Amino acid sequence: MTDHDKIPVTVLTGFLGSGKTTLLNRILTENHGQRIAVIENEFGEIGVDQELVINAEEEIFEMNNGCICCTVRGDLIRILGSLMKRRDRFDRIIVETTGMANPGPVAQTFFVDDDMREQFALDGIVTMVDARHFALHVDANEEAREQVAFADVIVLNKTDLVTAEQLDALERRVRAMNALARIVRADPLERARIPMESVLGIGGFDLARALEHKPTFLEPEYPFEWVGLFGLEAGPHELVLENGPDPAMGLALFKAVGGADEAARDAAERAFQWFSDDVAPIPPGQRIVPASVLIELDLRDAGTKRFGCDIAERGDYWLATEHLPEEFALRLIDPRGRSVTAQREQAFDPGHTHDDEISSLSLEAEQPLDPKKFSDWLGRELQVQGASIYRMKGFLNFKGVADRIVIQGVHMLTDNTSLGPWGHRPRRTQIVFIGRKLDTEALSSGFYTCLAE
Amino acid sequence: MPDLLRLDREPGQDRQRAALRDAVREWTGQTLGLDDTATVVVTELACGEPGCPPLEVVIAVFAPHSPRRQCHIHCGLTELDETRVRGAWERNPSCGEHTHD
Repeated sequence: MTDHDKIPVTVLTGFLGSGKTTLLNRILTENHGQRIAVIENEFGEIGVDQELVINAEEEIFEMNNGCICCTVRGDLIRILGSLMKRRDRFDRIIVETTGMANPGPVAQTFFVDDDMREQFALDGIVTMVDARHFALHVDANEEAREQVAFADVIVLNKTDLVTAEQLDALERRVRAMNALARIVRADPLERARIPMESVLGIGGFDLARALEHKPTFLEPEYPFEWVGLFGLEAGPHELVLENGPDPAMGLALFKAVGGADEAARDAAERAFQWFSDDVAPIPPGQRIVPASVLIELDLRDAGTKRFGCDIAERGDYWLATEHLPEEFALRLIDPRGRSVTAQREQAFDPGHTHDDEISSLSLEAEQPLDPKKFSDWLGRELQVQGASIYRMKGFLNFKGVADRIVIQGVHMLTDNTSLGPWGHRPRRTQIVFIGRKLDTEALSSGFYTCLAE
Repeated sequence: MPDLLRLDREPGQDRQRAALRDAVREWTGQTLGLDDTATVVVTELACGEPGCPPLEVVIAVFAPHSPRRQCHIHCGLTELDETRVRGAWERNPSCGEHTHD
């Protein structure tokens, strides 16, 4: 059966009150031309007349006794087998889980058996997040963390209930937990309103599309968390900081190339080279001059700290900071004593974690891998850490293998295929693990033993 | 350690494995007297238990209004034959019981 013939399945999950059913009702009423069969675990909440709605009682079934990595949804297996007999009545299946569901067994249901993989294409796991209550949910509930970790798409819903800054912070936290998912913000004026193409036809488990939604998959890890572009007049300015998380902070202030049109990414690339320099911290009261260098601010003193900043000519300047400005309540004050607001800004994945149990680890190598070493290493690692590794995706560069190999996995179950020759693309391996309390040291050190000689 | 990637697998091998899984389902259905409302899942897994061979085949039966059943046969999929599958179920047709062949 070709991919075209497979039945696409979307899993819709999210904690209690996140808006799953609201989104489901939107999907069922939007004019996307698809007939949808719904398998729901929360009875009677669909507000739309649907011909094919199947209520299922969640049943976790262990294929390999005692091994959580091989648990599947027994109810889904039975229902999907039954639905195949009515194949002509629907184009897509949506599985709506309960608010307390672990998406792992749902995903594994589609991996565990080659015939399931041949008949069904798990299009993606869509996780709804209540922007207002996410922190509360995720701190107190393993299921909420798992729902984020397993997602291909994370919808930030109820965005009208939080400020823009809170929403940005939420997105950064979610991104740190799941480096692979696409994050979509619902319309603040209408709950769960998002473009249908964000949740249908996303190809989250399609190996050939493994690289499409790679928000940070190929993004380098910057040693700074934020860059902001400021339009500054000539004259003495001042950087003002309050107490923060570190006794020192790296910072670079430099002129924009090409004025205000320079992209944040380009500015970040320039700053990247200076942030590896060794510099001595400068104490409060010292003056800063825009230059292509790293400055380390000495922030050991308690209370407000001020650093003079001489701007020789009017223009556009980038400020790159090791930490987010709000962590130090950082302000840039102009010669008239007014706080200057950044015209544009961009935050990056922090090098440090937010102490979430769920995290992502990205491993890369330009040197080719030895296929036998890699297969043995990954097999052992999945046996040891399989319960902790929720998802894994990557493309692999093997010595002696002409093709790009793409791999993905859920817990211990993996699937890989060739995407054809590398061609003009630079040959490199990149693999991302998303999991709970990952033994990152074991994964990193083991991965690098797989390099070919 | 089983070859996780199977980079050298030939297209014919995938067809052979698919045919084997179909056969295992048929032997299981006949041995247990299943009708077409039942779903039989056949999966080859790496066995994590110490002292066991590296691969095992898990056959799970999902039938409406019946308890779930599964059996584990300690060999790879390509080593299975009708005698071994029928024997595994005949020795232990009961629901939910885990045996090693």
